[in-house]
Amino acid sequence: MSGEGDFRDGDETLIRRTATGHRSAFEALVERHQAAVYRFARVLARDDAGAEDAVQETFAAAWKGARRFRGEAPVRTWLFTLVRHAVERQGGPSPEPGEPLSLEEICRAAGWGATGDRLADRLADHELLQRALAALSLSDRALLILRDLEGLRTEEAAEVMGLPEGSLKTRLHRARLRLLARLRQEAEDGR
Amino acid sequence: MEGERMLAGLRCGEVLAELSEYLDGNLSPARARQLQEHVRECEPCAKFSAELSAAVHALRAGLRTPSLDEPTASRFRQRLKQEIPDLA
Repeated sequence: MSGEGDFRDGDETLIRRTATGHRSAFEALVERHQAAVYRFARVLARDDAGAEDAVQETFAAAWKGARRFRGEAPVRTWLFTLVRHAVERQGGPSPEPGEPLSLEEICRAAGWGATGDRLADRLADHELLQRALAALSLSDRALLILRDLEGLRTEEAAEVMGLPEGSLKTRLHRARLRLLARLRQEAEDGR
Repeated sequence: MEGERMLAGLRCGEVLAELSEYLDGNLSPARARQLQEHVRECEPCAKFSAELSAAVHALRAGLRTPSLDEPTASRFRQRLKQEIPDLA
């Protein structure tokens, strides 16, 4: 890396240098965020090829659009929003099944009032987590990835998803409950 | 909901509806204390709250990988250089 940009620089510095054509600043930005961008793209896109295309388009758009970045949201939020736009240009995310369950039904499925083994003892099993996450709907996975895995704030995740904050909070809560329900189901099936 | 109790002025269903907001620290101090009081006295809500919190934390701890595997990262670099000739 040259002095144009490296991992000691913050995102704001890197994007500012990218906007003036500094390649190493852009490469540092890509290196820093590509894993998270790819994780999110894999959740949204119809398949792995679509996810890779979306990553490609996201960083190409970031390179071309760095001058328009105004710093009103963190760079990572902007990149995740570019991912969503890229997937929408591909024809949109895969369709989702309907979700008619009430909050009470979801909580029952997630184990409220159940007796028996504590699920907490099984949560270190990464494969169990992966299977449970994969079984959820696309929007549930996207919300859990943005808020709980990537750690975006509520307003940032709402911006990425194009949702009002109130809707995002409601949907996130149901997504967490459904994750718990799937974890319980997967744990019982694997016993 | 069947089997729910009224404790600390809250029914279990009300607690369950606000559990994420409680875990995220978004409730007012007074409301958070009320939920805490209910959860302290209600075994099903206490167990459920602990499991939901543990599941959320496990997701972050278990699935967050800081970097891509090298073949994927290399593929991305090549494609990006083709897309943006300035990077080549």
